[in-house]
Amino acid sequence: MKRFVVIIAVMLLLVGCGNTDKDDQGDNAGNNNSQESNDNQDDSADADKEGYKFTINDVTVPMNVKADSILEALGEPLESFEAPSCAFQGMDKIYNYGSYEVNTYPNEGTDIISAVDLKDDTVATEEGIYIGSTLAEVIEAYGEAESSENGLYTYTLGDSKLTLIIKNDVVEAITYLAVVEGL
Amino acid sequence: MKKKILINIAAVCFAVLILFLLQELFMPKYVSEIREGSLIEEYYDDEKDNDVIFIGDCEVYENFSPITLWEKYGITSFIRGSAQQLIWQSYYLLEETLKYEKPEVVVFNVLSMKYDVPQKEAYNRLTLDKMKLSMSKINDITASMMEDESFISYIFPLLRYHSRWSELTWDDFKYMFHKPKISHNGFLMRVDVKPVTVIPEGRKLADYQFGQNSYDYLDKMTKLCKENDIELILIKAPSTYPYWYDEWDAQMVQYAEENNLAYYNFLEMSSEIGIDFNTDTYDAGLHLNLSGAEKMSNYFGKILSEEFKVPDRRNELDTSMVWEKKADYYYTMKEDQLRELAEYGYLKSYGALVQNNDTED
Amino acid sequence: MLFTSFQFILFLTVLFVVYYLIPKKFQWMLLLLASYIFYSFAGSKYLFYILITTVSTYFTGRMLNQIQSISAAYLKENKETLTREDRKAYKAGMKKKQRRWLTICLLLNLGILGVIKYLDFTIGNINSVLDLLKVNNNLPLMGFVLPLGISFYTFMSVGYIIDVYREKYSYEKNIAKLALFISFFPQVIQGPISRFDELKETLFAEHSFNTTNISFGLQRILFGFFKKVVIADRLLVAVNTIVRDPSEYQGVYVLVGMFFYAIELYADFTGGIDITIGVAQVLGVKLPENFERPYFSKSIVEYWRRWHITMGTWFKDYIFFPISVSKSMLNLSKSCRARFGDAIGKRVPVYIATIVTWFATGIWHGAAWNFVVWGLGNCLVILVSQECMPLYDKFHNRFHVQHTLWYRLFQVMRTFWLMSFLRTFDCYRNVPTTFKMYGTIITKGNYQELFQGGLMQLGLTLSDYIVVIFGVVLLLMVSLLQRNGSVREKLAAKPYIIRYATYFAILLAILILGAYGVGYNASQFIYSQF
Repeated sequence: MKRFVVIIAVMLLLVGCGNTDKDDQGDNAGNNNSQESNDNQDDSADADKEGYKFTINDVTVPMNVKADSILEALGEPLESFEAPSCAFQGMDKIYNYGSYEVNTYPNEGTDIISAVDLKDDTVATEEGIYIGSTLAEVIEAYGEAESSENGLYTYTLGDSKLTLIIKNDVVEAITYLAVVEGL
Repeated sequence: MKKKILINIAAVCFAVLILFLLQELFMPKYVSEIREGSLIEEYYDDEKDNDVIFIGDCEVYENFSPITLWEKYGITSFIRGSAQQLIWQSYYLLEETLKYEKPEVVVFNVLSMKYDVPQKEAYNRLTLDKMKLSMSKINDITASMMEDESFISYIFPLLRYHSRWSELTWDDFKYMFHKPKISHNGFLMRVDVKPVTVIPEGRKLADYQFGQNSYDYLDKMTKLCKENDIELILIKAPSTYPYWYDEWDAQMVQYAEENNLAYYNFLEMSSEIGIDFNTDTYDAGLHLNLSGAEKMSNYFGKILSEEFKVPDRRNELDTSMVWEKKADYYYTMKEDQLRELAEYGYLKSYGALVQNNDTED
Repeated sequence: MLFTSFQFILFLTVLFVVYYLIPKKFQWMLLLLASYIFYSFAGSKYLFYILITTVSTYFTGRMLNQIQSISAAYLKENKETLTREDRKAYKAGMKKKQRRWLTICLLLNLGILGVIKYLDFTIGNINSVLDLLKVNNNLPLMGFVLPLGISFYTFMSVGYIIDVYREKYSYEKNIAKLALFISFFPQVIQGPISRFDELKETLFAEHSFNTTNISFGLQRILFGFFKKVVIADRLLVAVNTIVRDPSEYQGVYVLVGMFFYAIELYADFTGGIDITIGVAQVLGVKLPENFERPYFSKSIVEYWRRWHITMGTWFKDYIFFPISVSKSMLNLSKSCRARFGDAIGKRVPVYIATIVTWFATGIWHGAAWNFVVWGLGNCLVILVSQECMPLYDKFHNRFHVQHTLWYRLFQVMRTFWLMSFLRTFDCYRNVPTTFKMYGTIITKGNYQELFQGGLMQLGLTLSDYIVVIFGVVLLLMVSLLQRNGSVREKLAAKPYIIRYATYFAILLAILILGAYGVGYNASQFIYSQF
């Protein structure tokens, strides 16, 4: 009898006694889910992909997604620039819209959004931060930054990064970046 | 027993031979595409008797023409450049070069100061794969590896390129053992033109200070040159992009002063050099084309011979003969590029992209 | 250190050389050192856990042994004076003492495993309950990282200490030897779960350089790498594509995912075990087999006798068996017989033991509900088919198809797909999603898509598929050959040229076709975090 009780007790200890079906513990078994995937631009899930996004005139610009339809929606840029990568095929491209700039990088024949720079205080992040906001406002909107070395405040969400340069408690620059190796 | 051992030895030798051949086959050839990948190895077949050695990224191998330096000033030079060459890679390449020869002057392009840590495996490969095995190479690999790379795959590149089995082309067989010369003493020629229309402003940085690692290697480089009694010249080539910040420039000016080195920011001198960004660049400002590189070399050659007293060797018979041959190849390629440009509208067999007119603005 | 890393290959090479150079009496000590080095690569702080398990198991074993010897000596000394009842009572008293020590040891070691592996799962469940009750104060998760192979070495030491308690064999007097048994590096990642009495024969013995053993061991390692890097790691790409995007890949893709996952898991797990057993063989150590061509099984019960064998026998010996023959079970059975009749009374202990065993098997695979459902799913199929036995027998007696090739093939395919369906719980990691995906197999009706480019969107190219097909055909051929004897022995009887060409072909296949290095994701053994 006791042996049985011990075994049952151990089982209960191992298992816990919750009874709901919330089972997203993920990768305890260490297989598929724990592996990183290289293909960042899984465009099927663009719309609801987690990440920092820049929104202007109802156009949303997420990071690491195909650029073509977004660029079309943004309209004609003031100027654009193509920068070939050293040695490799394809061009990094910069589209200047005056108050903001959209950057792309090539991947397997298509351009992918790699960055958005806010250039002046006429544009703001979705969370209402613009060039000229105070540090306190940034913290209120985004919480404590992961790092703030040399005034470079960094926040990561999904495969996007939001970086703000804050000097003397005032935001001087805002950039959205795609998290990709080698960019 | 003896027979068994012999059979085993023979089997192992055979296996090693096959693996070696496969490795040669699978390594990218860098002839029709990504020609930059051939630059590093071309040095080993050269004469190695140069007075000037350039080290650095594309801003050296696209912007300076050793043939012009020779023709105008009798200066012998070689460019040990490679795509996105990081500063420690420049240092170890220099270290390696000094084992073969002792130049009077070493020219280093300072753009790579901006990279404090390894950047991209693909670029590492272009610089490291074809370096001959030496301590310099080993140290270079260790300094350059990204986190998820393995050292052994640099020593046995088959471990890196094995997956190319399904994408081998005729080039891979054709150039397995012998490849045509791509560069002119490390200079990658391009005659096509794409004018500068926009100079994108650099993104604001939180910190303009170059990283400590970069400075450490710059120090090492300075020291290595001093020890070998070589003049080290720091330059910033006249490429309008990637953006070269004033704050960066100031640091280089200061460094040169403190270490008693020469530093030239050719970007600032571009009009003095005579560079016309409407005609002298082939990709809107990143790299000079042949015409731009010749102007640049013409200008820099004068500095080298007048201020650094690099000797004129045009009266040395042996050297002259060698360089005349080089010049012949140079002009032949120039002709061929001009012909291709006229024929196809772009440099079809020189790794250029099809010019896409509707992206022009 | 992953088995498929260059680091591991270097580690092995150095170890093999040193192993056969040093005096033979030091060989097992070198293995201990190597195991701890291997272990510390995963993080030296985890050595602490394995040391606790080792030390506590050692001292409990010693204690049990002491009690056993005292008991034996006392009984021998007083053989004449004691009555049978006295002896029985004395023995029971001593057993009780032993049991106390055993319980402490089990609670400690299973407790460590429980806390590390299952605490967050438990907290998560409690939090869900709190959410349901609209309590806002959620408990924080602890975020423990599983020490390498903790489930495997805990099970091995638990098996050891229970065996000592059962007096199956005597305890190990040398703590270092016990430490080696618990930490022996080839099996710490993913099993097999060895038994002490079997392993000690070769683990602590002196081994001289034996070319056959070494050559056979190396061949097995090579074949393991082939399975892993050429087949498993390649298919993993497609499996991940499907499994990670359940909103996109439904219907026929779910079936494809199941099928690919079955092959991938088999190639990965048996490949890993091949490497494990091969490495041990090169070192002269004999490890138990863990697989016996499981996909040739004709029923799930048979499948579980042939898949991850050492785990199955462990659960049988240390959970199923103790529960089903425990006194309380017998009592329960008795009272059920009295109340509900023989048929039910007979089944109660078996049912309870089976359910507990499968629950434990499920949760052992991972602290998540999907694994519980997976385990109980297996249990259900097994119990149902047990109940249906008479029906099957009737069918077989009537139609006599049992021994025809086609019927056996049908049984094999049925078992394969049944297992693949169950295994889907392991893929999606989420019970409702899995059920939803089952549904789409019927409702989606996108079967024509597969060959209209669908297969090419899973991250594999045509050449990848060709490699996989060749690889699977090779595995199948080897398995078929294996049924009547060792393939390596057969190969050894062939002329030099054929043998060497075969070895070299496998080596080349691994080097060239292997899905390793830049461009492929480093993948981990599926079982390595248990």
